[in-house]
Amino acid sequence: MNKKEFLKLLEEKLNVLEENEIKDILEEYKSHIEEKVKDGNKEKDVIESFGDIDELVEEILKAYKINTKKVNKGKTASEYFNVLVDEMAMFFKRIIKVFEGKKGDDFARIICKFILILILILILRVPFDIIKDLGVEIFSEFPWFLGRVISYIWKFIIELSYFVISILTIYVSIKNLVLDEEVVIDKEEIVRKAEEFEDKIDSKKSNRGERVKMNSSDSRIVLTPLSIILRVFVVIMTIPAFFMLFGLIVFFGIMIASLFEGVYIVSLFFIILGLIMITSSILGIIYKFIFGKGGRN
Amino acid sequence: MNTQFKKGVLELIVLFSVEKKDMYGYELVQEVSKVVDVNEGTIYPLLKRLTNENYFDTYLLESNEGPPRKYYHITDKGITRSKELAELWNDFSRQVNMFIGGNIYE
Repeated sequence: MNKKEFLKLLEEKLNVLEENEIKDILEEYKSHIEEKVKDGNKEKDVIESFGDIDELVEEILKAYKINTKKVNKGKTASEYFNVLVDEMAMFFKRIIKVFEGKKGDDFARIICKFILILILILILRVPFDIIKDLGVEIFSEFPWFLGRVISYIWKFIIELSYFVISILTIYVSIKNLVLDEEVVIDKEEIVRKAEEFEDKIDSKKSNRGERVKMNSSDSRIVLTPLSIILRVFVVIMTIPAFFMLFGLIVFFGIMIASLFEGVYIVSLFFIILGLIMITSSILGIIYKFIFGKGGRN
Repeated sequence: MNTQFKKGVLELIVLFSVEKKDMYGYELVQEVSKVVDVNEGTIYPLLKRLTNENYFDTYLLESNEGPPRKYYHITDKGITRSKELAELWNDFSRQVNMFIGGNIYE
């Protein structure tokens, strides 16, 4: 763990405290690490010497008379409930905070993403309905009221799990959207820091700074043709995958249409669904690969 | 050494160090680690607690290198506390010494 990661983690774990207090504590640890490094210690070793971060956080929170054991391992249901409520409150607070600092464009982007997620959840409804109907069909073969009772329980379980999954998906995706924005800010800060650092090297040890810069530009030259070839290759590779995805989606549409007509081919339906997921995730990885590299060069 | 025991002693050492002279966090950590072998990360929470309990005041002072440093200054309440703790420690160590020396009970 490096300094940045350590401070980030510490900040997250101290989020019950007020912002200026968190800042104050982070500042102390930051300067401690910096002084230690200046004295010739390795950043990694200094952070390791702090020991388990959870114990450290416990110590810090104790200084504010906050009992972390109660926060984390509440024994009664009401304590669990309180923790949950606190977490939800923090969650909404963070979302509002992110939205406050947004321009119209960003706002629209996030809304679009959210709508997309809602559509995905709606599509997710289809397999759930299929499973539900399948169960009801099977249970109706059971003798007298037993079949009915079981099928009611079955329906209830399926509806409940769909509900839970939907809520979780929305929660996680919103959290990711919020986090996404924070990561972007973080990256900018890292770049700024790196530039500052380079400037310092330049001014203090100009010879060494030049050498470092030359090395990095060398590696860029070597990397570029290789990555271009790689990228072209990958793009060619993706073309069949695109066609496959397109075909699968068309087939999927036919399947849904046939479902409404009353044709039940459940196994085939799931195979198609699985294939669509696999292909799209492969495409996603390739997309990330191309654009990830593209961003760096 | 027992951690709970260590914590009490640590508080005494920190109070005493700051009573001698105002110090900033890292300086204090160095000073304390001269006396006891301790996880340096855990000194900052202690400083925080002593500040929250009004044993210490803090103020910022420009430094030659880097950003301004936060200095700790002992308050009257802190001095009382340090005397109290020192007394407790003296009593305790005297009794332990007597016991180990074994002169009094034999």
